[in-house]
Amino acid sequence: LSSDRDLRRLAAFALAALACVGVVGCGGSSTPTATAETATLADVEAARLCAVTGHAYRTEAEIDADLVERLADHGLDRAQWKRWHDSLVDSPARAAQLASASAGGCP
Amino acid sequence: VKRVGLVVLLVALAAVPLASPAAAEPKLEVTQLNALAVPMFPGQTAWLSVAWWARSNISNFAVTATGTDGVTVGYPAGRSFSSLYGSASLAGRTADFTSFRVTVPYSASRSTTLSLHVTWDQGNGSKRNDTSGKKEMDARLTIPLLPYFGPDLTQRTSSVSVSKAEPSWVEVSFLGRAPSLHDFALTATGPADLVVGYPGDGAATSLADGSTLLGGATDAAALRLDASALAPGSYVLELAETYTTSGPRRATGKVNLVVRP
Repeated sequence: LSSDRDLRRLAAFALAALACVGVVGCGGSSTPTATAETATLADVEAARLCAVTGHAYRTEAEIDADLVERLADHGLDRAQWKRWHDSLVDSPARAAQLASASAGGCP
Repeated sequence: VKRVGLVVLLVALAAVPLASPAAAEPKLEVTQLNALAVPMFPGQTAWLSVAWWARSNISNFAVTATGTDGVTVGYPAGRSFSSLYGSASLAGRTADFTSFRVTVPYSASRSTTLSLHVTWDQGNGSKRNDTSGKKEMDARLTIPLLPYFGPDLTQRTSSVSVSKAEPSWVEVSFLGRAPSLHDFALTATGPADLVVGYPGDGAATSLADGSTLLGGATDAAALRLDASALAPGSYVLELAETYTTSGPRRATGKVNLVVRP
């Protein structure tokens, strides 16, 4: 592990694994699972939350564009992000990843 | 130098990091993570955001905001409220944000505060039909205001070209630099034999998207030029702009006019 980000990702996986305890078939049922991709989406979302609340956008479209740009930097698109976001309320594991990514607050 | 120092100080004070709910988990079902917005200028319109954290799954999240002293609020997609960016639901122990379109009048100074009213349902709402009644809370968002120092607008068109053979429309483009310019009107004068016309046979032209130019936006004013009585060559078109920011303003500019055969 060569960076803080790796450590954070490991922590996110650990939290996600803990969150799976008590969730029937965490890896094989309809409950959305936590993966490396969902960890990346959580990182993107956490960083974006900091950026959005610290910026005054001229147009609403600029808020969307900021998200699309951040996703593209990681090879992801808005449809993937939307599916992931909609799954959070049904996936304690993915919600735990996002909570972990946001745990440090904003710089 | 004092002004720059003041701006830097105010920006630094306003740049309060977003609270981390994990550091000390709030007892409330819904917690506002930032009560202080980024600074705005009087006269500015901008989208500001407030972050929210939920202790457990919530749904049907809605926020309305009310300003004072002429501050007005708009919502995404022309709605009468704002929800969360991702959806109207928020997973437990995660955060999402709400955005508003805030317009601050030029008469405002120092800071302004929005009153926020928040409603939601506990649980996943219609997904699981386990709501336990509408919840609500009131909150506030303080917006620091900084005075604007700088140019009002920048003319982006330096040259236009028309044919001597027939009258034609040309556009002169402007970039808004002040927080907002209102009642924008432009007139042009050129060589004695040039005939300048305006949209609707008016006495002046305004901008394509209306008479308001917001800071950071670009828009163009159209002029109809009849150069049939001029010899081919280069001329100077004198521009006069009037508009309102914190009061009536005037500006002037020049455009190189090329008359083609």
